[in-house]
Amino acid sequence: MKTTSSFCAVTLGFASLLSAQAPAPLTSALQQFVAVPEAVVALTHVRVVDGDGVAPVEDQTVVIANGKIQAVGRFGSTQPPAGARVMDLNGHTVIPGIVGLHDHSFYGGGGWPYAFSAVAVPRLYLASGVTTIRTTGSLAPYDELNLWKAIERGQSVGPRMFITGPYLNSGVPGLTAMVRVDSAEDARRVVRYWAEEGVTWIKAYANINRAALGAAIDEAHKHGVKVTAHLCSVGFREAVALGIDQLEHGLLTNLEYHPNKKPDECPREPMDWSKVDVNSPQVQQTFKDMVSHNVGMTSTLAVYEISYPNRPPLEQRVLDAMYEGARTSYLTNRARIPANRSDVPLKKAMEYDLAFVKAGGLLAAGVDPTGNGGALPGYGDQRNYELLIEAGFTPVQAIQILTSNGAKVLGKYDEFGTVTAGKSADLVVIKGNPIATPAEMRNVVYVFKQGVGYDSPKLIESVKGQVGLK
Amino acid sequence: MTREEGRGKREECIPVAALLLAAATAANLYAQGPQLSPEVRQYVSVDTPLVAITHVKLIDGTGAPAAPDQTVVIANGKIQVVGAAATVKPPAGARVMDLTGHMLIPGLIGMHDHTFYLTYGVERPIQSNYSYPRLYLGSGVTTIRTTGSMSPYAEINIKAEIDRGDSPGPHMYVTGPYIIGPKPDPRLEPFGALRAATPEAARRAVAYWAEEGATWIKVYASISRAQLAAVVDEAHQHGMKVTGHLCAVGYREAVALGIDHLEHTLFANSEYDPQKQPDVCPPTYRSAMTNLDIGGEPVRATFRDLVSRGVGMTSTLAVYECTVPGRPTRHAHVLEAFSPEMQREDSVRFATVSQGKVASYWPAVFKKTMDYEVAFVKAGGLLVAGVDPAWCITAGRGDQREFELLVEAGFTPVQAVQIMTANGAKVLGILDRVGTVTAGKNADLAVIRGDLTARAADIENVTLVFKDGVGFDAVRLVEAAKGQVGLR
Repeated sequence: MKTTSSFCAVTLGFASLLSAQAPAPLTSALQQFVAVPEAVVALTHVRVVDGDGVAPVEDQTVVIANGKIQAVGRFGSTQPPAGARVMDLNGHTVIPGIVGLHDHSFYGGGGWPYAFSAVAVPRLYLASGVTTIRTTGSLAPYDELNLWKAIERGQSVGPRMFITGPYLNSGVPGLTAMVRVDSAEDARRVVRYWAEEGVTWIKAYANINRAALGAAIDEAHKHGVKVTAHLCSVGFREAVALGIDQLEHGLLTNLEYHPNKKPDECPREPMDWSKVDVNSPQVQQTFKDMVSHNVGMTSTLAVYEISYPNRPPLEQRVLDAMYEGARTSYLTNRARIPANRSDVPLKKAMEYDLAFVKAGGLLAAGVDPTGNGGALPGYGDQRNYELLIEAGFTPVQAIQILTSNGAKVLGKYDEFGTVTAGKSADLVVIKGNPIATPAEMRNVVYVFKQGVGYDSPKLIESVKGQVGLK
Repeated sequence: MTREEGRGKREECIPVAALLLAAATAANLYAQGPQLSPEVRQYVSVDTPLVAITHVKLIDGTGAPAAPDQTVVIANGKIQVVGAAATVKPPAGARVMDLTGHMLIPGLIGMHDHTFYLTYGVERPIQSNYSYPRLYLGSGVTTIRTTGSMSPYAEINIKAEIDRGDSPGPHMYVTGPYIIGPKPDPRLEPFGALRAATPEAARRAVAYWAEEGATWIKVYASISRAQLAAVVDEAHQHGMKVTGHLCAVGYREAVALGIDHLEHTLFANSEYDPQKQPDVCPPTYRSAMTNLDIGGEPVRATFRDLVSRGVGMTSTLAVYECTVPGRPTRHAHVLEAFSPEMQREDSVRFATVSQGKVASYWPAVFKKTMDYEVAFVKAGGLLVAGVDPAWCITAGRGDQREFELLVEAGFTPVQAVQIMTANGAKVLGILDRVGTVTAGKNADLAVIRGDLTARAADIENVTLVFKDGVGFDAVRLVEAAKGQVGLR
């Protein structure tokens, strides 16, 4: 093996360049997507939901200056600075930019081939109010690194990206593009390489064994990289004991409640999820372990729900965004879902998410644009909001889960994730009041990322019919 | 059952188990391959260890003339005897297959045989882990070099599946990711390319993929001389080889830097463009080719450098044909492999190209490239071929089309077979084991109904493909991939 110190310097050099305050200006071709280019802006008469769980506050002024939130306060007491562009947004709601923690850079499913998307997916995330994504398992890590750099250079439009390396799996991979790591040595080699390339997270997958997972975590931590997983062969408590940083999907990937669970094996017999009682000592012990080790969980209800009949109701904008072939594939697969399929697993997953937060757990959310292809990047993140409310969270809690909790998991809560003076101006301007009417979360007008205000409908229009294409 | 009883039983079993193990090992050696899964077995039509193919017309891949009425004996995965049917008698116990009216050639060696498809125009990449291995093998391609990977882990996994006997497919030489740099290359970046900002970054990637099991590295158009030099040096330290689809670096420069092989022959050689500046891909390089004198000194200088350094080139006429107006680029046997969506996309392509809505230089450049390839071989160059499945042509079917185009270019059928078999084996460094129909080599063979010396298009009629002596039903393999290209 080559020594890596000089390589690390190169990577770190680029990373520090990226964390510089002001984003690079967009290329002239991309400037059409910016509706609010001014450095100093005051959004007036808006309803603010701050992302910290505080009740909505009416008639606020939010001042943005040089990429940051400069002030937030009551209209009248907080004055727009001289020279600011003042935007009267009466009837609008401002929330923090959504932090999507299971937001792949690829799209596919339901027979449509999974493929990295350099254009449609990042634009749809941003247009939907998702200002930060963690890719949480990559089929094409180099592509993600290139896209991330292109966005930071202003040559592509998209959210902030936290890049995850390839999926680590043991035994015969489930998806062919995963890297097979059967031993601790394999896991360390792969983690070390991708850490040097600039990924900040590693994702482990369903069949990973404890030896490989433990080594991946240990190696990742040496490089300042964190680990999350979609598990099956390893239970949540085992993973927490091995030092994992985050767990994906919630209940349906925690097989430690399976009566025939054997170490390092994903049970072959299906799990009867109706048997899980979220108030049982067994489940509460899982939560205790997670909370005491500061291990959060990512709720992915939007991808869960698409396995059940008539969920979600067909939405024209979803079909409009899809490439023709992908749309046909999705509709065909959606029609094949048995009308009598029980939704107990979905309901149980919702109960589990709710009980986890009641037990003090840190719940974040993400879309996971896979399944039958019906959970679209961005749109599915918005759908999570409605589903979290269906699960029993208050709208204010649901926004917190979508925004500041994600920032906390990423270790970036001090930089973004709430509408707070001093933080990066990552904000979503929504027409209407999603607190009163959750479906209004879909009515995004402007999305500010590092103070640059993007035109959401224009971004959506630019990728019409292209999800699944490019 | 008590511990003692259990132990006693186990001890009794040991010799039996050992015998079984020995028998299994022998059976494995016998077949020269792994135990085949039911998924693979459904395509196998000849699985006896001793087979005699009689009365075939043979093109053996060495360049020797076609020989009529031959017998080829396969034993335990190897070619045991090759000779005239009149003199070579099938051994006792052999399965005798009278293949009168058929030809036998070495299994094709596809040297630009990706595992993904790239659509025309928008260039949507589709990793094709299921359809391609079946199409390659079913088309007579028994070995591929992937020559640029969009998903190297997927290729490593597919190769392992095939080698384990869990999936049908050719022998695979996995190439790492495309390496470009230092400049961003937006056209290519969506296909999994590593953009090496520095020579050190390129070295790090090469070293990593060597450890993961890649045996070749592919560099792409925008790569600079400094990055290329680093890739070549690091690859050679790991026993890997480097090939390139170049543009910013000319062929003579690349050969001087130690590159092992070059892709696309004339199509990707920018060094004849008078506008060419160091480390820059000139936008005019293809239009500049239309007036190229194939017999002129600049071309001869290129060939001299390649031949003296033993650097070969890969012909990929079948893919470029997709964008040449007036060329016959819609083939029923290709279209049937496409998903309905891909068929629709391809009809758009065909209309675009037919209406001449492409760069005007394509017909001339296509013809020049054919001439360039013939001249290269005349100059002593080592020419191989591959499909580069994209734009309108699929895995396997495109390798077959390549054969027809080589014949159209002016090679004899015997030469074209040699280019597509023995020459590929030579570049891969495995000519001692495969690539010709020679006693002692692995039985990697393609059986074709018809006569390639009379009709090049008979290459499309592959009926039976031997890989390590196991005979696969070509029709069943191709049938399994029907409608699947574009989906999986």
